[in-house]
Amino acid sequence: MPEPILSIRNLSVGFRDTETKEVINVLRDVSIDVPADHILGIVGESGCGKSVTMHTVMGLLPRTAVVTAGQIRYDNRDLLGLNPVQMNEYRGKEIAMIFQEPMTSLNPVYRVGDQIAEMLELHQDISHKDALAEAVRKLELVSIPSPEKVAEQYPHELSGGMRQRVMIAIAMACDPKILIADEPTTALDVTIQAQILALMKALKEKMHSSIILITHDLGVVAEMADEVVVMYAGDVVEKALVVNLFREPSHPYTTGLLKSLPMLHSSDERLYNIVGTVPSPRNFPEACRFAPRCEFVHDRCLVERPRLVRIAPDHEVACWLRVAQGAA
Amino acid sequence: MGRYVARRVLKGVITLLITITLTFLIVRLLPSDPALMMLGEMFTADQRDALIQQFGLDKPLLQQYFIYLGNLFRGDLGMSFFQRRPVMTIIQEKLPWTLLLMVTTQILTMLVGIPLGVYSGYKRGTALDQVVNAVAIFGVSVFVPWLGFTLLYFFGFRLPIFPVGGAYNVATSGFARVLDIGEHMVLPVATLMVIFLANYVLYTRGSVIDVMEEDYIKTARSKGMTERRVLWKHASKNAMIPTVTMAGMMLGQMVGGAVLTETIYAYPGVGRMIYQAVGQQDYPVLQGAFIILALSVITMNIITDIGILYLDPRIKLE
Repeated sequence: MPEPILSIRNLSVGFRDTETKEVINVLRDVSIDVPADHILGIVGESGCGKSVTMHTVMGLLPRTAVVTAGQIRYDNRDLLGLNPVQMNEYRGKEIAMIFQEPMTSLNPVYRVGDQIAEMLELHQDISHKDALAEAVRKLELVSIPSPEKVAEQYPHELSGGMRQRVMIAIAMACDPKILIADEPTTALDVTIQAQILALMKALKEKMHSSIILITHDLGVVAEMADEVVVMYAGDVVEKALVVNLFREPSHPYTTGLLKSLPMLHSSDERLYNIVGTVPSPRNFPEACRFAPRCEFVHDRCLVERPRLVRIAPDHEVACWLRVAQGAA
Repeated sequence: MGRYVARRVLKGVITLLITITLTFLIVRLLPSDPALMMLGEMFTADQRDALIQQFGLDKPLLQQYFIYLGNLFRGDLGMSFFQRRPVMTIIQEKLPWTLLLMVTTQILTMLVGIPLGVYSGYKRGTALDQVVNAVAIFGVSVFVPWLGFTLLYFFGFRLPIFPVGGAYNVATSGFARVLDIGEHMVLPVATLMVIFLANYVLYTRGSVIDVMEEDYIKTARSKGMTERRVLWKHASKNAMIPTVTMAGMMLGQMVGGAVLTETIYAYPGVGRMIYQAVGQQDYPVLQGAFIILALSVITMNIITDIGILYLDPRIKLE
């Protein structure tokens, strides 16, 4: 694997209970590397910590969040140690983000053109007039028809797909090295989803940036990503190249996710589902957090926490079932 | 835009017409005898009939109504029973003072209330926010006359910094007069401000708290801007929309505030005129005042609506 440009090391994040002041741990020793010019998929159910991890990278955690350990290395600096002014040199400019809800992610009272231009004005020495002209070119870049007209419009005049294109135009305005996309197509129609994903991939190819794609849709991952990180309840449970993950899913949770995908030629009447739901962070088990829902749970899973071990080149998993294999 | 304003004005005209009609009917439904009002106790039946005829009160109601409308259109609001002067002349003397008081209060309230509300909403839960909140709650709950008399007692009488009544001292002229007018305004404006400021602060604070949770605030932060810019550029404009709507709705309340405040401070405006006219049963003056006040409130509402149009592009123009 090439040298990473972004490296999350042993990140632990908790949330302070506003009543008891007690810190409830959510992320536990999360380590993720993002190489340059690479698409990394992060998958998992709602509440598994995908978004919290990426919000930590962006410095977008709510006030109640506490980073209890870890580092986020970028450009030879630890982003966690930066003050807000230093952080703003990276945020938006080097690492940009788009969100799940294009309908509500744009400011309703400003024109689309101004919202794109603002990104340029924040990070470049550029006049408002030039920034607006540049904004039109950015709209062109994300394949928006009649960009001059759209630049003059307000978000409510655009469809969801168009708004997500605008969000991408904003995020990519300063040619960032990394684009974090937090479930970018979840709120969109299937046909629009495909278009947005294709657009992101095309832009990535053109600009050689990296994409971190947060999703719960394994189909999207298969389509887009080079590498996948599977998260469950604040733990990274499996990391692999996409081909390896689909060929040899190794964590029972990953296997479960794959089995829950509806298949066209499946003979089973009922779709498989993983029993239970992700517990609330207050009730995360101490050892293996997946244990209560796991079909293969045994004594060790309940007392000792499995760490990520390499079971093949470019394939790591945190599960006691695979330890023997990893050690071998 | 032009069409929206035109439609809004048309709506205003209709509202005004309804107000005028209601005022016309109410005054005619009152049990008192206008001749008795005009002439006092001592008059003959002939005098009474002559007067009734002179005022056209013997004509059918509908005809009276159209005469009344016609007069209104020419700016004739009738004669004051008590002062024996045209109501229009009286209002022309009083209205500028009330407008001065109201416009000053509005501007000061917005200048202080909106930033205070935005900041305290942003700093929600901190000591500053709690103090602002407590003061604001006091402001919305306080009884205006009590506040007026308290200020008057302390700052007009016990510690005579400000004049106790009137709009200016006749002995002054030129720039000294301007200063003097300002001095006379301090206590009335302060009294009115307490109520309106509290509303501005609470509304703005509430909407800032809501707006800060919006997705576009997260987008703004992800762009790499200072918190100051997030708050004042991205949150404030959105948070202003409910505040301005509230301001428009509160204009009616402002009229009530004017009556009480002007009366307490013997301020020569429309509010005090209304108070006096009620005491003197001077119906033409009251009628004229209602119409002028309705006109002001309707005009201000149109201005507010156009203001909101500038703040919120989502409002449909069709």
